[in-house]
Amino acid sequence: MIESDASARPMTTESQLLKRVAELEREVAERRQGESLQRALYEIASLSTADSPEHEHYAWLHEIVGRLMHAKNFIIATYDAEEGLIRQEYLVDEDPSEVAVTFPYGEGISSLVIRTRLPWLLDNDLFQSLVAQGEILAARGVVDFNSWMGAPLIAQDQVYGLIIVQSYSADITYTQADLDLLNFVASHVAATAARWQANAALKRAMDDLAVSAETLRLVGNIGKDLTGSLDTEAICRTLEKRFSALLPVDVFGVAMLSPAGDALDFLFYVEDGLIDEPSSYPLDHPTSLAALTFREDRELTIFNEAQLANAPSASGFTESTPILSAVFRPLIANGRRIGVLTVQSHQANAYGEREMEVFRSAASFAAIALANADAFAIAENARKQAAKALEDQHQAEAQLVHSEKMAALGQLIAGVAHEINTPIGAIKSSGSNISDALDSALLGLPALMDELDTTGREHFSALVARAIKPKNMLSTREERAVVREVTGALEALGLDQARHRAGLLVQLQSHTDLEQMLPLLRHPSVDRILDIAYGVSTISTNAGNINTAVDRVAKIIFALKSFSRFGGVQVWTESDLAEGLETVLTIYQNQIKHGTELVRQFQPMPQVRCLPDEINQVWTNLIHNALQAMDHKGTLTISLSQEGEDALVSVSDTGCGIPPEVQQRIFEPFFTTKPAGEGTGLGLDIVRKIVEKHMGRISVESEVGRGTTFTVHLPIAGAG
Amino acid sequence: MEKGILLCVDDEIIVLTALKDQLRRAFGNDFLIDVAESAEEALELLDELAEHGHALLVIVSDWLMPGMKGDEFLIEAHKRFPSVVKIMLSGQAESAAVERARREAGLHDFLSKPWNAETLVESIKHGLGGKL
Repeated sequence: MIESDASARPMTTESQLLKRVAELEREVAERRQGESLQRALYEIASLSTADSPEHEHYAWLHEIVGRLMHAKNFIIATYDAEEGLIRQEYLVDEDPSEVAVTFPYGEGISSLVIRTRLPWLLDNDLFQSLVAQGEILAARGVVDFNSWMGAPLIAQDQVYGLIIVQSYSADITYTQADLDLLNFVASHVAATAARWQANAALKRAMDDLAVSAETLRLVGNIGKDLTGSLDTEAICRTLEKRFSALLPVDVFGVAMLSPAGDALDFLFYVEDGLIDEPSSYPLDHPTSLAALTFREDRELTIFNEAQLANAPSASGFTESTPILSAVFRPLIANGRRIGVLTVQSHQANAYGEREMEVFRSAASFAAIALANADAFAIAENARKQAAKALEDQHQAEAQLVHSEKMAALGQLIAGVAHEINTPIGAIKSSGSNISDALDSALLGLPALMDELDTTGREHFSALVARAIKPKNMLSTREERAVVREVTGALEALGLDQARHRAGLLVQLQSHTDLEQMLPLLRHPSVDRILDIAYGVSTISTNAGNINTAVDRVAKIIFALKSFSRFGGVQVWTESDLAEGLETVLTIYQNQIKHGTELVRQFQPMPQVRCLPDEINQVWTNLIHNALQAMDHKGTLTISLSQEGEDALVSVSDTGCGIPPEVQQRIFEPFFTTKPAGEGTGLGLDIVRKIVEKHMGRISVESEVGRGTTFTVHLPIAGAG
Repeated sequence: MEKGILLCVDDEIIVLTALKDQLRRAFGNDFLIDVAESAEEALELLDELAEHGHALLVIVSDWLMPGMKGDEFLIEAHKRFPSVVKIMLSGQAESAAVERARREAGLHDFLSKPWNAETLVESIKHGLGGKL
């Protein structure tokens, strides 16, 4: 038998019980939080597919964070290092007078977060002492929070802004765990913000260039080409093509700072139309001109053959023609050096003033495009990882739903085995009873007929006729009382073996008129007469018994078939709810017998349009829970009625009840109060999902120590 | 002297119907066959039988019944009639319950449903030993 949930164990003291409940709640909370977090990260990553942030994206972020913690008051601000401004891009606040503002970096708590690049959790005391120490200057607005948290948005070592949540209510005070969570979320938001900002920078650069002269128009085409592409190699190819159209280019190379930040990786290097293998140089490389350019953060223009000859060739090819002109320029995006761009030529003095102008403008485009591709790759990678995790989780969830079903089935099968073995045993025995009785009755009959005179035969025929009439079913207790009475009567008539014969007469339905039976009872062959008549009666009784038992087996098989169909193709059908409930009760008959009193209150009902298999699963879960809640001892009441347009089904137990704090959570997935391994906590989650699919609703009423009632409302017309 | 009694206890009438005819044919000349639909009813019957001077010889009981289960019932019966032959006949019984009945009720045999008539009759005969 399955242990009922922890609160049903009478041995447990109240304090142990409370402790266990607390533990369970914590475990469940952790599990749930892990799940919500996974979803949140997935959703945040998917935001990065937007080119630039709109209000709706911020609102979405707000909603995502709101699912993880109290976030009624929520701000996303961006930090513009160039302008030295903090812009509140999105602000939702309980106080309607709070509006999004832009203010100088240095002011407010936001500046503390951006300056320290750390997440901060403040209460009013800590806030006041930071103000006193001069850590916070010119706090904005009225500071009336109870608890404040801010986490910086840092990606690729750059602060893009911050996320703030705050609570005014004394009921909500954030904890270190909340702060960790917010910071974790912020680190993911930052990757998205990085991409948004790169896009914005690119757009600004485009806008600036749009007003320029012919050279800049040509360069602008590069920008247009690049915005369409996010793949680093594709960007490099486009750059090379465009540069070649504008400048003499015999060598074109793009080197990016390695992820570790200690080397330059040539992602792309073309010399005389041949693409070289990727190569890498440490930043402190003594002769690499690219490394020198990067280290010194300046443009390098070299028309000196000796210097070039000393530099390591990025190419593995033997140079047939010497390089006479070379330009190296750091790639700078969002104020950060991300790599080095070089163009080189076999011509001497290949790069004049105009060429240099083109080169510089194009290089700044290239930097933005490459940074953008980088941010995109990071965001895309994060999105893929999150998608994979979500996929894994869905699979795990599906697996759990399946094992929940299999566990329920497993428990049922043991009980159902008994349910089937009982009627089969009866059928087998009744079958052999019939064949034995046929043998003895038919063998004995001719001799008896010879022995009886005409009157005797008439009496015997009448006896047999009564014996095979349909039986009036008596309970064993009632039958025993009748047998006792008849025994007395037979004794009064002075007949021996009164008890034995009384039993036979009752079986033969010939005990009511003993006078009529007297000639046979006084016949010398009375034993054989009764035996043979009894044999005939046995045949009819056992034939009836077999029919009853076969009906029972058929009913169980039908119920099992309905069960095994769960999860198959679903068809909306007009269905009789009472029939479905009976099917489930048949399956649970065996468990109900353990000590449960079953009360059915079924009102006549029209058929309900539903998915019958899924609805049966709802009844199964509710009945299963009810039986467990009262450890199979108590009263299970199932009622079915109509209320307006709805069918109403309720399942009540007289079990341990559900405490109010647990009631709120029982429909949550993975919430369980059962010991590990006994329930997945998905039962009621599945029930709720099925009921909602039917546009119905489910409610629970429970009193600790008294019992629980689940009520399901289903629209009779079906969903939609 | 009244005949000895063979008592069958099962909550299923179909089982009692089949058992009653089966045992009556095998033992009807020597014993009375009585049936009860629950352990509680059977215990009442035990009291009556004792009062009326009937000798209870054999109990064949199901295990899973509403109310008192077969092992509890047999232990109770064992207290009153230690020498009665006790047989459990069940489609599903917890092995711990069967063990308990063996230990505390002197269970003679456990047969599972669906049962074989000859096996049951043989088991009863074996239990009764020389009394038949």
